Amino acid sequence: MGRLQTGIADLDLILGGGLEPGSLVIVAGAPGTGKTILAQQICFANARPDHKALYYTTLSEPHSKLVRHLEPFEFFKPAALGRSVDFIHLGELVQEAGKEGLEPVVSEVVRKCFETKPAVVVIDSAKALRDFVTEHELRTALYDLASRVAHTNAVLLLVGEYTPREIEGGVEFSLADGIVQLAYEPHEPVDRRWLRVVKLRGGDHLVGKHSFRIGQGGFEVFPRLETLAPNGTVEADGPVATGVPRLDELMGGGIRAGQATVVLGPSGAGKTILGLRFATEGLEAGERCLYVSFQETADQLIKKAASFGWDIAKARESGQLAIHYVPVGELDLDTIAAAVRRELTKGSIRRVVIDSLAELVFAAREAERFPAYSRSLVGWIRAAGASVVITSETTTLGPMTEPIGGLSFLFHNVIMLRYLEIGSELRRALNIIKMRTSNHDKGVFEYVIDKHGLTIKDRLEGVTGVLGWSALRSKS
Amino acid sequence: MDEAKSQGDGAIARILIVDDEPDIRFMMRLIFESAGYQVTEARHGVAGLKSVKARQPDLVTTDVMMPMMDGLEFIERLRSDPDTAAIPILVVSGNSDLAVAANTRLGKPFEAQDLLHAAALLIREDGG
Repeated sequence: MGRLQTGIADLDLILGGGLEPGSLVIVAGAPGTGKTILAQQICFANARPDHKALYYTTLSEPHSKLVRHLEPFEFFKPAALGRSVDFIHLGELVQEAGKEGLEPVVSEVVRKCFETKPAVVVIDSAKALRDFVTEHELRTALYDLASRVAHTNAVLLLVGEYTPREIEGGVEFSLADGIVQLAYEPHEPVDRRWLRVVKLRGGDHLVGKHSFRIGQGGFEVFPRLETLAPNGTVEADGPVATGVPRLDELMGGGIRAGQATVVLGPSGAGKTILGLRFATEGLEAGERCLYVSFQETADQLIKKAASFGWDIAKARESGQLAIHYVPVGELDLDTIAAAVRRELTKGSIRRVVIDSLAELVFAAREAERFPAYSRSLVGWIRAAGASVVITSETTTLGPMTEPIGGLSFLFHNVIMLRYLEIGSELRRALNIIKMRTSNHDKGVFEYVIDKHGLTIKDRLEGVTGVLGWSALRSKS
Repeated sequence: MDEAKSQGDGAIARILIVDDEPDIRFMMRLIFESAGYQVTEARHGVAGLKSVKARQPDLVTTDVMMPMMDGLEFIERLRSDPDTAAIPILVVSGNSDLAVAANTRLGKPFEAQDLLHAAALLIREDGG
């Protein structure tokens, strides 16, 4: 018998394929974390007239209010109520548990399970059961309930406002086959919801905190990228033209397919122009490209490209170019990674531009996570056979201490753009800091931004101090 | 609240409310009693059957999704027993489209006047 799909594609991926029939799974979390919505979405995704979903409420809100809150969600089907999804109130049976124990509650749920052979049974809130019986009685009742319901192959979901401490030591949790913890973390610039599979017997689940959103479609889950391995590797080789005249030559033949390149530079130095040119070059060669932008919307990027004579609008319309704009309100590492993965799995993406690394760092609420995340992201892109250019902002003027926060190991190639003060004029200069697989030019070259984009001019001869504040005439 | 409260013979009509949600029962009791009906309650089909046999109500209102015995089975039992087969039944449910052998169906949430109107109509039809 196959696993029960939750109806939420990436949640099933996290759960190693879904929930085991006959298992007891606890959905735990503070109020407002989305437990009830998740349980209801699973119910509506699985309920059939011959395999119903039974939703038992204990001391929660009235059913009419529950239904009213469900109505905005796309997964909610009013016609299913009573036909394939039953909402049943156990409140009074539970309240009587103080006198009679939980046996009447257990018997009722089990009776209904054997009668209707449900796909899924929910008790919301299961934590309310604690208020009426001793710990020993609760353990016995839940053991009876879980073992009897298991005979019907229904998945039994216990939903409750359990704290992390209760998850560690509560009697419910020692009996559970699976525990899914939901949380809501206030955080600037945007709060974060995450879920974690604390325990799942008989499955190979993805560990760690996975971001999720609740929208009209219900739950949308974004698996933690570091826990996902690419499905396969597309072998890529050969030169990848940057599209900037002379740059490939300075790079000792240029970028190789499948490499990661970082473009460092202060604001206004031309990083986005270089990224746009890199993408446009690919488009002109018939390649599919993905541009992840944090500051400029798709329209703004299209206009910017047009100002240099590059028409990327048509490619976007045809799907050859995917522009994924991430507004501040959606700065979340897992959400961004999911969008990139989605485009990559469509296939044939050959160039990716991420503009810029600074926003990705900003999106990383868990700072210690960032190196592993970046490595995974670059790994996914490379496994798809694509080359990636990532821009990274440095300080406007002056020397840079650690411009990419110790992430240089990630990049095969490092290009640096900078402002230089030469003879009381502010000019721009470019140099190649690192090329992993070729012998690059070590010189510093002046470049200008004109109507053609970024144009590399002459080598800056006879100046020194370019890695510091200003360029001085060398004594020789 | 000027709908009829009594049957043709002038006796006060009795209504049995069968619902698993105490809040719904409380609200319906309030509405019916304000209109002058006598009200009894049952929290599921099993208790509802007992109450019907003991009190022979003039109208039964029932939910569909309930523990112990759901509304569909409850109605089927009432209809299959000659002593109770003729009692008018008003289904008050979250899904009012359910095809059941009730006389009338009313969706939740409902307006007090709609509930009273439906009840009065069924009691009048039944009691002449």
